[in-house]
Amino acid sequence: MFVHLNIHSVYSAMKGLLSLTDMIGLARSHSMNTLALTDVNGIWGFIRFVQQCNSSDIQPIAGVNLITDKQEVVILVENQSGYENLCRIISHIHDDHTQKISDIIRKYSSGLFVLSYDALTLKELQRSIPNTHLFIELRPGMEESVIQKLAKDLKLEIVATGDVYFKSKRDHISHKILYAIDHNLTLEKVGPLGYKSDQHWFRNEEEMVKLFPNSLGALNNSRYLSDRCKTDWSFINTIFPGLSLKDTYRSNRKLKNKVFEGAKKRYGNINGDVRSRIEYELNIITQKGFAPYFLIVQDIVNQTRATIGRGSAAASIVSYCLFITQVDPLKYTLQFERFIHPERKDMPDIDVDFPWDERDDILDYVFRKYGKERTAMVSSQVFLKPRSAIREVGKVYGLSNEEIKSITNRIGWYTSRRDLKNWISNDQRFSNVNLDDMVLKVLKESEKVVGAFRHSSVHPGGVVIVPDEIRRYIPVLQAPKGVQIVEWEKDQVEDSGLLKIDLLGNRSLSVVRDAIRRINLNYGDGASQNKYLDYHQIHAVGDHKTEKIMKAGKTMGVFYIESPATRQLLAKAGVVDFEHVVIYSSIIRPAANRYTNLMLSRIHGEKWDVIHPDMGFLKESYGIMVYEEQVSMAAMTMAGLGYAEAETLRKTMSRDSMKHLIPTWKQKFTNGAHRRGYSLDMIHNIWDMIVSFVGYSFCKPHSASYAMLSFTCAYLKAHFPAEFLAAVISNQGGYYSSYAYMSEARRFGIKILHPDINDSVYNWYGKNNEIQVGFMSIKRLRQKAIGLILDERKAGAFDSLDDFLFRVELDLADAMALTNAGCFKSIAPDLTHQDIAYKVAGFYLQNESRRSFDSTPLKRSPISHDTYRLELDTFGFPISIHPLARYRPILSKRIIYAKDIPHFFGQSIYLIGLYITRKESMTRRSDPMEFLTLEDETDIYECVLFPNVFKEFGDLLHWETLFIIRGTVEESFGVYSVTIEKMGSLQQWLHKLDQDRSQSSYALNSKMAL
Amino acid sequence: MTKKDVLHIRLKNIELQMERMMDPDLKTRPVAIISSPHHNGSIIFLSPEAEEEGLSRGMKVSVIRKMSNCTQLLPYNRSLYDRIHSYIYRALSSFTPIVEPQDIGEFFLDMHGMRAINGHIKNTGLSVINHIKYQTNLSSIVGISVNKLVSRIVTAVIQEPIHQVKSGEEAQFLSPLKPLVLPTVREKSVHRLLRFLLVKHISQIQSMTTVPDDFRTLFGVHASALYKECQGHDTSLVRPFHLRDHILEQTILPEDTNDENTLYAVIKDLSERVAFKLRQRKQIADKIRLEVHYTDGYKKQRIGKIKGADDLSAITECKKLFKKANERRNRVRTILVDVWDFQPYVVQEDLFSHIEQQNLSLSIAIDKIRSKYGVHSLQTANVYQALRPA
Repeated sequence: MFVHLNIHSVYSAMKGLLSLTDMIGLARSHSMNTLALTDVNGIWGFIRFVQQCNSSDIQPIAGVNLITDKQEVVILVENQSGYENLCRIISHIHDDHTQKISDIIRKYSSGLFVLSYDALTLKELQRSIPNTHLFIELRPGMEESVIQKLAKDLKLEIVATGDVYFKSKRDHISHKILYAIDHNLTLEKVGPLGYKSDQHWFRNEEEMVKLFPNSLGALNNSRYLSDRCKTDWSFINTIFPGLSLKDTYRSNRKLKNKVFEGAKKRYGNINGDVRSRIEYELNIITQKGFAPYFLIVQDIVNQTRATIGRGSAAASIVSYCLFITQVDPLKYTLQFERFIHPERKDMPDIDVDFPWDERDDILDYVFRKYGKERTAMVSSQVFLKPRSAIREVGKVYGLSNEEIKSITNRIGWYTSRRDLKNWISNDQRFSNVNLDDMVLKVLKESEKVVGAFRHSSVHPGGVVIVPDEIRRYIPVLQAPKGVQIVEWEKDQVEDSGLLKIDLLGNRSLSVVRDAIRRINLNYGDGASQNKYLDYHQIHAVGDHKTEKIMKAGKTMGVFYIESPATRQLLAKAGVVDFEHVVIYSSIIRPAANRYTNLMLSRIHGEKWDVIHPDMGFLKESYGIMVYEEQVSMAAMTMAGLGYAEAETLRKTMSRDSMKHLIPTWKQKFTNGAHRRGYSLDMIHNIWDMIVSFVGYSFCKPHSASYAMLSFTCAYLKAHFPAEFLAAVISNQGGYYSSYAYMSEARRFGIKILHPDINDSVYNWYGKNNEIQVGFMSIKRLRQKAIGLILDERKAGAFDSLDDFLFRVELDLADAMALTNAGCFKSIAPDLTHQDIAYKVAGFYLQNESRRSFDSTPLKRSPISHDTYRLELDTFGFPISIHPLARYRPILSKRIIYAKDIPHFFGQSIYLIGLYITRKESMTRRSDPMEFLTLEDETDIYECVLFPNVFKEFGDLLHWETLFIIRGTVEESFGVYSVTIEKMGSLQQWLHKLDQDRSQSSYALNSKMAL
Repeated sequence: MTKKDVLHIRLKNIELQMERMMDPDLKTRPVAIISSPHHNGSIIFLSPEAEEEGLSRGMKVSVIRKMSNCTQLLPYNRSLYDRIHSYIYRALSSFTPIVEPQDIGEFFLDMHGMRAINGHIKNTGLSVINHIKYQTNLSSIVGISVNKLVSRIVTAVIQEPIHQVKSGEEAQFLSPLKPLVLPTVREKSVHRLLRFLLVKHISQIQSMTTVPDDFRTLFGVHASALYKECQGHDTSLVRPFHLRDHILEQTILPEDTNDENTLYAVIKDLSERVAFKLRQRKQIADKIRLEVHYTDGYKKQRIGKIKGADDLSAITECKKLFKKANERRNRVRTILVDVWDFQPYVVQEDLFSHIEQQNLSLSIAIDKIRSKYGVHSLQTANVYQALRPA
């Protein structure tokens, strides 16, 4: 019986087209019970393959098809030591693609079966591999007689393989397209070589016999060989720490001491509750041997001050006492079992966020401490998504950028639809795209290549640490960035049992750090007396002022609750205690919109009860499923699933790669719940809630961690808005542009000061309700020049323009940038901008024995238009005036101000607005619509474009920033928004108005002349 | 001493009109001629339809691509515009022997000493406008002054068909104008400096010249030229230009494509047309340039040499150039072949019947039919297929 021992999945970069699901489906449909995955130069999807094989009763074999410039072989794994050697060999190939495969295999041949069709390679391999482990490969496209002769000469056995790359013969064109994409060619220019012929499709046994009628022995050999390969893969062995008994004992003791030491700092007196919780957790942690893991994470966290441990780790008092997490699990009733359950077998995840600008140093520290031999970063596997597939296939068919962009610009980055042709032909948002035959062909072909693996890159923060040699466990490679990465992405790493620590950069932590630093600098009499000095000592929860801005939805710049949707949710709810903010952080997710409105009604007094007395755990969240653990609990309570099964169901919902299992789980859940006597209605209701977790959801400890940082940020914004918003802009982070944050500062009554040569520093900073713009925002001002100015300023402030000119040696370009930014106004108060520019240019254009120019013969003061242009050129946005202020005097009085919107409830009004942000969404009928945030001189406001309006005016949002709109004022839970009826480009509208006016005046003049 | 009169003739939007003459499909479509297809490229000319799409002159290509998908972007097709330019040049030569063609659609006429023949200079200007209109159906405007600099600025800034700046009034005429009309201001360093100093009018530059030392420091090597220009001084002469003789053939494909069969068929057709014209002139060309224009406005070109006068030599060379030039994956819109640097060739009786000679004989035989029934009277099937309207 034939077994496929050489199959390539989509993980064979830009070659394979078979998804793992398709591959296993085909195997099952042909009654094959064993499969080998032999992707090109890697085992990129091996864990997924094993998982899917296990769930389909197929025995998985590990393998690889090594292809270099010189040789090609197929390697299959015989045992664990063979797997380790396979990882080492692949890593070596990644190191140097020009090496001879036979040379590498010679060093790591044990536990491996090697197949090759090349006589020279086979002869070389025969020197190091016994004939029992070396075979001749007979693959499609080869002459049976030639291979049989070779076998006779070398006295080796033949094994037939399918060398599969695609599902059926029809898919060959897609394989060719992948080759063209990979080599930047058009389909016309692809030659006959370099890619596989149309023979490399998935054949069943019968078809293989037809292909090789004279090699039945070779076909049977595939079965015999597969029986000798390793198929029992278990990845639940935690690979870390692997320490001796003595080391483990020491680690346990060290952890205990550190935890109690930390507990004293956190709680002061350690009461009975705290002590018993610590002992309970330590007991489980030490039993499972996780103590060294905690110590490693604590060691990393210790490298900086402002960190936030997130994920389920926030449910642990041990993490809290080690200062890994910042939320007290006792105070906020966070269940430790969500983090480490006695039944949980896999490694617990501790994810830690660091200030974004310190993260690289932290990673350096980790690599330095544990060495490259033991450490690598997790990779991000990049696949062709609908957007990129259309772009690449479009290029292969010679479409121009405009043609491609006219489609791709309307597709979201994370769209997962695969029926592209049908979707794009029928969806409203593509209604004005010219879909000719060529474009339709491109869409059809794009559908087939969606999901193909393109390349791997570096994951933003995942680090893998192993006790000995990393190449034993997983192949590693060097990313273009220069970092060593593993082949697997985070989920496979996690499932494989490797120790993964997520060290992610978080801009808000830098914001908090910088804001606190500036506050202390501004108002701290002495560091030890200052209550704001310590990040860990801010008591934001329950603070009246903090809650006030949160209730008003004025949270722009505040971590995690600053998006328009969340700001509106806060304002609508009007309840902003810690527990509620934790709920809001969790419920704001794409699939849970209707539950958000239900929750708001319940907050505002609508009567409700939990759906069933058994669902008491939903009481804390208004009877609505909000946290991941509620999914597991519902599964256990209703369907009677065990802990491990319920956890798998939860994971299935949150992982894209496990989406295909959802229908199976639905069936299981429904059957289980039905058996236990729950009504079908209730089962459907609960399942709907579970489904709203697809792709994006949080556990309660994670939300609590984030909510704590949100509160800290909100506290800083409420009490020190200038310092806080300046830090937000300096860290260039958040949901909005720097300009939007600057506008927000103005709404908080903060004055924005132009950069000043004596007062500005690199960053923006705030003090006493003023924000000083930093040098960093001056375009074309080089960092080196900033350094020179700051260094020279240490010797004393500049007292005049001449003083500056003679003290700082700059390039003219830098000096021009400083002048245009208005940096010299304070040291040359009597000079106009033109005078300063004349002196500066004159000075820096002289080569030697420089003199300062006396006065300028230019006599003209800059007008407001000059200032506006200068600011746009220099900063990218105006500082002195609002962009809309210039238009207001020429506009009709019918156009109202944003601050007056509430007075026009239910009425249709005209507004003008500057683009702040937007978010595309879908109606229940899957029609696209848009939420748009605009601002004018007086306030920021939210708008909605429903599908019919979006269809007509949506295009405008791609390129315009200043709008004139007509819309109706709506109100929901006391929050006002504008439903747009019509919108247009303000500048075009004014231009047209101007033309109409001149035409009518021309007509008038003509009439008068007559 | 007779008065010096320099006329500057400007035909506005000549490029756009030419494109529409070549490809009638563009007559109703929004069209923009762009300086470069790169993101930084900008619109040089645009049709009213394109204006209605919200586009405007100087707009960046990156913005156009976001704003209007249906606007046809065309690269600046110098070769095509050269044709009409040289035609107008010949028409203007009837007014004065000293005509200097400048940029496309711009000419200087030195009318020094011509008043006796042509009458008042303004009348001459009017005759020039009428003559161009009659010959080409294109409208033009005329600037008159004592030098080239001022005459050219006149046609750039004045909308009237004829305007004259009298001798001695140049500085006064220039003072309210924007500095960018002066050629030296287009130097990057000068322009950057004037922008930095918020200089909006030439009068401000004129005022800066009152402190000569500072002026020299600020503008360095450009100070002298800028000084003269802002006063309206220009001593350069109107120089007649020897026009380059060349053969230019272009095919706009019935449908944008990168189908190699179609493209090579078009190359074959273009090569045969060029070779036919060469044989008519009894010449061979030392230089041949092949340009490939793509749908997105990019173009690629390669230059080579045709070795013989037969069809096959031209086809072989053009195919070679096309293979080198066509590096992009985008679909092709237009292919253009331009040949120049001509040398005579002599048909010599061949005693030993070389293959080249056979090819030439064959081409000459086909030429007889082409001369009688037109160049497209004989076509291979693939050429017929490729040129058939979509």
